[in-house]
Amino acid sequence: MILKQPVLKSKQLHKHYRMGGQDLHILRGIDMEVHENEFVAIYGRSGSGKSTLLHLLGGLDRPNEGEVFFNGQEVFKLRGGKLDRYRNRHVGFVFQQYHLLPELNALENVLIGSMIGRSLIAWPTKKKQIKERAKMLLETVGLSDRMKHRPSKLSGGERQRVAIARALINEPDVLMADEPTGNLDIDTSGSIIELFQKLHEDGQTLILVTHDEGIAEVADRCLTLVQGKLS
Amino acid sequence: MYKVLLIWKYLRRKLAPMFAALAVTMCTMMVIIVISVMGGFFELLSSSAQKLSGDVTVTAFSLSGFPHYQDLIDEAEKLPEVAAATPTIQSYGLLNLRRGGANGPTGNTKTVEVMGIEPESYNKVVDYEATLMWDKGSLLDDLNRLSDARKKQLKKWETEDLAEAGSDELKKQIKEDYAAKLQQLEALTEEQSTQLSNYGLKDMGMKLEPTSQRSIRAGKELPGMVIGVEVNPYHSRDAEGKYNILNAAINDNAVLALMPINEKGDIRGEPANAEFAVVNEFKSGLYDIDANRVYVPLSVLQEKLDMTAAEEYDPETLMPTGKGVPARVTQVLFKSAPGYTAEQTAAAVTKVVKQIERENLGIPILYTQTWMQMHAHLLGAVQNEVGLVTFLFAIISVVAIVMVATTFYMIVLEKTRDIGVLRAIGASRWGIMNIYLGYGLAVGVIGALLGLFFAYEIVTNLNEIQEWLYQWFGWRMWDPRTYFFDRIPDKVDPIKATWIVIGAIASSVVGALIPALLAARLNPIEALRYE
Repeated sequence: MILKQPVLKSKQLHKHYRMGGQDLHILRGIDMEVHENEFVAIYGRSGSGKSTLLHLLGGLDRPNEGEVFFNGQEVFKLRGGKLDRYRNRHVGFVFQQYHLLPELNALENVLIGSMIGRSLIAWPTKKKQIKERAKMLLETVGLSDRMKHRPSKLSGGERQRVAIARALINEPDVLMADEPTGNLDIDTSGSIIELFQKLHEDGQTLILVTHDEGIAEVADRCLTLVQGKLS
Repeated sequence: MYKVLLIWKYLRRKLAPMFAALAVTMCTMMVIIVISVMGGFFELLSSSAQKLSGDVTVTAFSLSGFPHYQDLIDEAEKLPEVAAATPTIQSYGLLNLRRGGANGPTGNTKTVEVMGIEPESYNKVVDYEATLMWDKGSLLDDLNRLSDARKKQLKKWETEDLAEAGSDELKKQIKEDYAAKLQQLEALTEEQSTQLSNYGLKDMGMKLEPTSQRSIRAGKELPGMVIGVEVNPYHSRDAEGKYNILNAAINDNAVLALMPINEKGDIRGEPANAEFAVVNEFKSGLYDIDANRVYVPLSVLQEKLDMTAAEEYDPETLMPTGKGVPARVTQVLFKSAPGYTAEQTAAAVTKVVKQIERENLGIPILYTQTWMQMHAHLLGAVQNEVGLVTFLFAIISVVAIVMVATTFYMIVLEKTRDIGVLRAIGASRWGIMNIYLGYGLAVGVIGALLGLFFAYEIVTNLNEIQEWLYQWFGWRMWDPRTYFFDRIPDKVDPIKATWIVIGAIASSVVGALIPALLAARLNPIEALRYE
């Protein structure tokens, strides 16, 4: 039997922070794998290092030790803007605080991710196609009538849906969500989780970080982070 | 592409960069206005100085002058670099100006620079005719202005009298009286206008000869004199900086006391007096010249200063030696032929000067100078002033850089989390830096172009603005009575303005550079957690 190579893999990841003269060893040798079309939840208490692990996997932060592999390629050895390109093309982030750009409307917030990956010259040739995809994504997340609204005019749930659409615009290999329902009420949280499930059913690989055991249960696999180690 | 979108959105949504753009606008405007006005002032001075001394001057820097000037002129005029040449004498004397002829009341006496010229050739080298103040046109203009003022006054009086008049009969009488007065005034103006049309003021100035009637009145042939407009003590400029022809010294008697100096530089014991009739006044634009210089015929001055050609006498035997003493002048002025610079002409004339010196041993050392060298003391001072003021305003313009830097630093702080988001979705450090540099560029372009627009509007309408300020507030920023040019220079040099605009845009980008670098260096995780 040939084992399929994981999309994402970490090997002995360690992360330290210096805080008030103290060394905080947040991650203590994380080994994990995420396979294509898999929905993985990383569950842990507040401060357990879940977000830090997600940031390392997504190439947003660098580990003190250890490696992250994306499709077999060592992520932190990427040079010359390739790490930026990794974040832009292969990973999609969804944050607890939504982190939409306040000056842009919903459609522009979705489009910006695609614009980042394209030059001023290349953009016009793909603009129509990408715009169609952005509109389709907003329709998928149920915001077809809110495309021209700026974040300040949207509810928390709507903002998070825009953030999800933004994360999906470049058809990322892995969608990484960091406590995506942390700021939402139960009903809205439920609808967002349903959306993730639907995306997963459509074949999207997902890593979801949560401190909510109930939410973690919807994933295919749940990894629990305790004191910087996976159990 | 995202950079363009964000810059556009930031420009539309943020008030802070508009203040930065305003600072760039103000600084651009300030520097363009200062450079335009000061530069214009310098150009006015330069062109006036060039018009006064031709392109090149050959002088011995001695009041005793130098001989063989005609040989110098004849040889120089053969050069392709020389379009025209003219001999002049520059001397000094005491001038007594007296109204009402020689027997008029006690006149005004002052020291003057006396220039002996041959008007015809002098006019070919310098812009002599254009500097002459009074002509038929100016007389007629003044006459019409006076007539209009009188008509207005009559109308005013008529209105006042009619308001006071009780009966209709009296009103009718008043109307008839004023109509008759107006008719008289118009007839008088018409008559004076016809008389003035025959009055050749410019011609008199060009020939340095008074009218025949003036000589008949004086009982002798008088040579003409043209005086600097500020030499005339009776002039005072009106609020617009204009002189009134009614105060002009035309036909006044002028007596010059001169001190003759022989070819060896010895001063003769007694001064020579010469009587002239003032035939016109001139205004060159250089106050020092206009307040001190008078023009008289070269031949008259040569004669009075003992600078004419003569026979040499032995000082001991007082018998003629048989040798001739050539006529002298103190300087020869040259005009460059089209296509030649003053420097090129000076170089060519210098060769002729050397040749004349070789052929006539014993003549004083002659110096060839361009008009810029001749007026270096004045032009250099003004140029230094222009440079200093420009430098000071350029330093003030650093304010724009600081303002942009401060504004952008605040924006970067405010946008820290957004920078983290952009990094998270794939923006590079270089891309983040370019957003803020592009933003600085956009602010610079908007600010500098607005500055250019306002500066252009202000400079080109500066005189009208001054007029408006004067009418409404009674204040003049450039009082024509104090400054010698009637109008504030109102031209914007497009090349200088372009450089200033480029400089302002560059300043704005420089101002945005440090905040842009800080933005680019932000750690995305820290930026995302920024509160």
